[in-house]
Amino acid sequence: MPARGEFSIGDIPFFDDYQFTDTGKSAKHFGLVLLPETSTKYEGSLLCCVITSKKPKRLKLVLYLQSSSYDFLSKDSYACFDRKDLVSMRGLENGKQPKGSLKKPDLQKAYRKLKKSLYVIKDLASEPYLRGTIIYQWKKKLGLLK
Amino acid sequence: MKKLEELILFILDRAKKKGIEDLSLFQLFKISYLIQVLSFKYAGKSFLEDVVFIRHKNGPISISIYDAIEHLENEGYIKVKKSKKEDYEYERHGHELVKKIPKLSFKKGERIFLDSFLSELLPLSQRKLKEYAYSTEPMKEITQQERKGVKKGAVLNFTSVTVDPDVVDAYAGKG
Repeated sequence: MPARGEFSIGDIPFFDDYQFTDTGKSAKHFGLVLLPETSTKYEGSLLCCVITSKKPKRLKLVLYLQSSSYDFLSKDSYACFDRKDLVSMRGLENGKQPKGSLKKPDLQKAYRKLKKSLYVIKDLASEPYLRGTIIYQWKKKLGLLK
Repeated sequence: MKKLEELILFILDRAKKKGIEDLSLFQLFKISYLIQVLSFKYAGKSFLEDVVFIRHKNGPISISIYDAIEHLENEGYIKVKKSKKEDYEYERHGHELVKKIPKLSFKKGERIFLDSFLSELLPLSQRKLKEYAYSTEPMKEITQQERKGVKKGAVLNFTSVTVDPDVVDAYAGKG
């Protein structure tokens, strides 16, 4: 693994081998980091939602990322909060990582979409401790903790 | 193994991985207490079902933690080293993990929750841990009742912990 700092919420790494938790299938993908690496490093993974250039049917739980704002994306893309995965860090592409990070206004939009997904979608983040950790870490990142 | 014993082993294991050789009894009391508070706040439920924390002069302690440490010492998992500083009247009891921990029964979500908060709690000084413990609702509730000195031995009330509003929204389906 290349020398790098620890990943934090909003980072966008690229995976040569992004393995989907539900199907076990894998593909090359960008991922949006949903928990800091300190939370998941002993699991050997990063909690991400997949970023895809394929336009999803339902847009309520996705964040639109324009390639003009994120120059490392060759096409306009979508961070899909209804597709969360604990992705093995072994699948990270060699080289500089992360490729970029969400801009602050997008981080705020992302948290609103993510929160919505936490009650709409039944997935690995439905587990109360994982859900609570996601909420705590995003609020901390956005300075929303009292 | 009881959940509290597993928690102590988990805390000591993560401390060791961060290069912290041992933890004092004070640190184990406060970190376990804060994990319990944070569990109510962010998961909406108790992490340590059968563990009672009581008010002591330096904040929350639990008799169950003494028992758990004794059991873990007898099982050969931890060693307690005693040391004393000239400028402090009490001995420091350093708890060190000396045997590989067994496979623990925590679920993935619980492990991530613990790692998330332990990465913040383990680097804190004893003074900061004490401040953090005193800033929590159960400790605030008890200190507000203490007009005539510390209510030593009073049971801390975790029902006073408010669940984070965004967690409530997630359960209520508000988003």
